[in-house]
Amino acid sequence: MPAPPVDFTDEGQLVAALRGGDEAAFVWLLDRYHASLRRVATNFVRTAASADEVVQETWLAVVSGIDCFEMRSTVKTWIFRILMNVARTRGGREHRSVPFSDLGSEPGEVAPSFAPDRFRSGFRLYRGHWARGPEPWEEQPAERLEAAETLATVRGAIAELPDRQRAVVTLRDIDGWTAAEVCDLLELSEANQRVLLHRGRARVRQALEDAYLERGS
Amino acid sequence: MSDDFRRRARAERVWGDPASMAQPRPRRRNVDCIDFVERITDYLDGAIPERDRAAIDRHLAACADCTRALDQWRTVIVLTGHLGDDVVDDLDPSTQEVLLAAFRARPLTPD
Repeated sequence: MPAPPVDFTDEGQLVAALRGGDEAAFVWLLDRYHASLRRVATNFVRTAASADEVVQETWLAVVSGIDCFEMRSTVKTWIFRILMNVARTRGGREHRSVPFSDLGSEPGEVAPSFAPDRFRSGFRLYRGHWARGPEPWEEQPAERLEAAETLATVRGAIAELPDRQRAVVTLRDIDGWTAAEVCDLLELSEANQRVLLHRGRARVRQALEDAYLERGS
Repeated sequence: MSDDFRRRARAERVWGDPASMAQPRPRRRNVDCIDFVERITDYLDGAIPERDRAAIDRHLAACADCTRALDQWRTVIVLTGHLGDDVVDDLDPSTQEVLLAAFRARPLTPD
């Protein structure tokens, strides 16, 4: 009688299959996470070639580390932790302009979402209300808004973000992770995760507004 | 301050004291634009308590600039999402071969 098919979505069965050398399990893992790893890696290193190398190195670490995986996190979290470590090591080695410093110890950034002078001060009734509201860049036609030039602005702004903001924005807004998954991977509280995400999005928004004003709207 | 007093004070902040509704400015919880913009991500993530959310929704109904700021956050999220579009989803065959070879060459440890 043939053995029942292995359910790879079950973490225990998946890990057992990988440890037992089941190639189908490894192929399943590659299919499931390779694109995602590339998307994330691309935001931590400068070139696509570097990203590919980081991802490949990650997979090799998965292969050699599966026996040591203690299942205290999900397989997904474990794999992406390896990616972060590989990217960080590499950032230090290559002196990249996107250094991947210790995710846990970045000083908190307190820049507001909009410059303080965009809000009124003084007279009590209007204090804290807009003095200069957001420029209407989002009203541009879709062809303009989704043009390569605009996306390059977004990409550039994300590349300039502090590490933790870049990590959270990449995972949440590019790769579609849930807040809970991001908190688990980066060991953040829900509130801190949202602060980092908010700061990152605020900078991207500002970059889009700046680009819009530079073009003379 | 008694709990009852505190509860009433809170209720008045949110809804206004019914007795003073006829006054020109009912006391209700006001939302300042400068504070709202820092809570947009909380708002989009559903992380704002019900009571505050109602106040924010009232504010948004009246404030075009805050509504625009909220729209821009949504647009930023959509545009950022497009950055993932150009990542090639398929693993190229030669890389897959390298990885599979490494997997096959892995020494198996007995359970």
